[in-house]
Amino acid sequence: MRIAVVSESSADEAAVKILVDAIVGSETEIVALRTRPNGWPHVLNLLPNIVIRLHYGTDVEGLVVVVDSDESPVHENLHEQEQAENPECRLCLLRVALRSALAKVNPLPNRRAMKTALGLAVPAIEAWYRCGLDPHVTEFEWVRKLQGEILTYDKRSLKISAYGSDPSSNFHRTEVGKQAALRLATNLEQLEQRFPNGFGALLRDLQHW
Amino acid sequence: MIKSIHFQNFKALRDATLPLGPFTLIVGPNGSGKSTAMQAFSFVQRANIYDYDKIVTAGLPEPSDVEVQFTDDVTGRTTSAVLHHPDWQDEDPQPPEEDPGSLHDPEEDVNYLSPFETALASFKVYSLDAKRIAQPVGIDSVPELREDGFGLANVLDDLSDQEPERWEALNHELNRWLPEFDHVTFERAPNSTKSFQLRTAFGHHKYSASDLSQGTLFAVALLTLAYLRKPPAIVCFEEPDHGIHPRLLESIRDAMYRLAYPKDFSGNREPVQVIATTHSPYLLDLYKEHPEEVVIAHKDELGAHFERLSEKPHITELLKGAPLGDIWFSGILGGVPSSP
Repeated sequence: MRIAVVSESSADEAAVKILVDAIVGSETEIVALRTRPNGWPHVLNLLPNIVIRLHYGTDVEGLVVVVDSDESPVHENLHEQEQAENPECRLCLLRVALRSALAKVNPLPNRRAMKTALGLAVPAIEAWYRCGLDPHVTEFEWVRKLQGEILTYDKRSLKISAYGSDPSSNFHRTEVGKQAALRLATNLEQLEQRFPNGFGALLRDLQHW
Repeated sequence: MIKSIHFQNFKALRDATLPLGPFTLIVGPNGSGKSTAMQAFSFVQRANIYDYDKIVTAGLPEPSDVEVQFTDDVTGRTTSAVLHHPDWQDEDPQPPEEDPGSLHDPEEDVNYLSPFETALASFKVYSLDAKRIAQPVGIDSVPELREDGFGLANVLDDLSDQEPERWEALNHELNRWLPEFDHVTFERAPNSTKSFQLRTAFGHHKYSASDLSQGTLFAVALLTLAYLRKPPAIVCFEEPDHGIHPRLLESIRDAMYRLAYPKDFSGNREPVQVIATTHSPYLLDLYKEHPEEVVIAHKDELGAHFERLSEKPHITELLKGAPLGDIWFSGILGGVPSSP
């Protein structure tokens, strides 16, 4: 299956591909799409263009988007209810943008509707990499930090924990990310328990493919 | 004006056509044929000086000619250069094809170049080098800006002597680009060389070219080219944004437009055909309204090839909403590296 992965770096993309393969149960072929580093607004702005390009110009069957939540609100079940999207939640914003973009493309002969899956790494993908290694790194904990509590970790310390230093080379981040994703792929339930809304959303979308 | 250049077995350009307009900005990954395309201009003049083995596309299934063909937008005529495989050069030399664009004077028995050939012969590929721009030049040397920027002091001095109005306009524009400076001045050394200086707007201190930053030197060279009285008919810029602050990129674009569209800047000289290459999404952002001026260089298993942005399917929809630089960077348009 050919899929497109939208991510902020090639390191993230390599890890996401391993997780996607584990969830869908087969190896995917990736069309890589990137945004400029730290480019949340770019992802949101580009999503309609990406959908148009993939729909009309490729045979890609699925689109996966994974973004960091950074300091934005963490997605929660409440947002899933009709008309209850949080305008500051990145997952909600991506869903609205994606729905709107997909509604605008015209059906093509021999072209099935593109499958989509959206994930939110809270606060960054390195938090997923710590799953199984550090029980304090969870979505719930991060929500407490957003509410003003002092946590034992932040985005930078997550990177240092994952890669040994910050900054680190893209090659090193890719290798670490791949190793972490291979480990996580053996226990997706635990990753979903620790990150029920950000990773859980991705998992549930992909399980419907 | 050159309408297009077709490449056959020319380095990474195995079978590619580069479409051109009055101004063309080429974007693409490293090794996608952007710089190779610039080499076409010298190849068409002197194909015989090239080493076949170094210029032919690597890995061709059978021995083949190397060919570059330019097409004139006005007459539709073509001018080409062919480098034959070495075996064929020895065993079966082929006479050069007569170019229908060349004019022959039987009384003098000489060939005159057609206007198109004359334009092709007058090309420069500027790949600027800060040290060469700042280097002092001989007082009596010909005022000519070399492709690495050497000779700038002489060119500026000549402009100040020969074209006082153009010279003052250049200084005015310099102050707009770099507000800390208001004028170019010159210093002469005892060894009969001269170099240029920039005078500060406040205090009128003079900074020697050798003390100026790389970006400032590049900006002065690009600005000077835009104000030349008789620029080359065809000008190529390799990475004109190199070393330039992103806020100055609009001025760099305008300098290139000044060359390409002189009437839009109240100029009275012939338009220069401008070709530029870049990797900068910031520079590309400035061309969103003119996709016909942008060419995407792609690289795949069949080699490098070119595509005019305005001719991509669904381009109007693809360009909506986001900056062009972002859209290109994402990979939606192609012209990005296939691996990190």
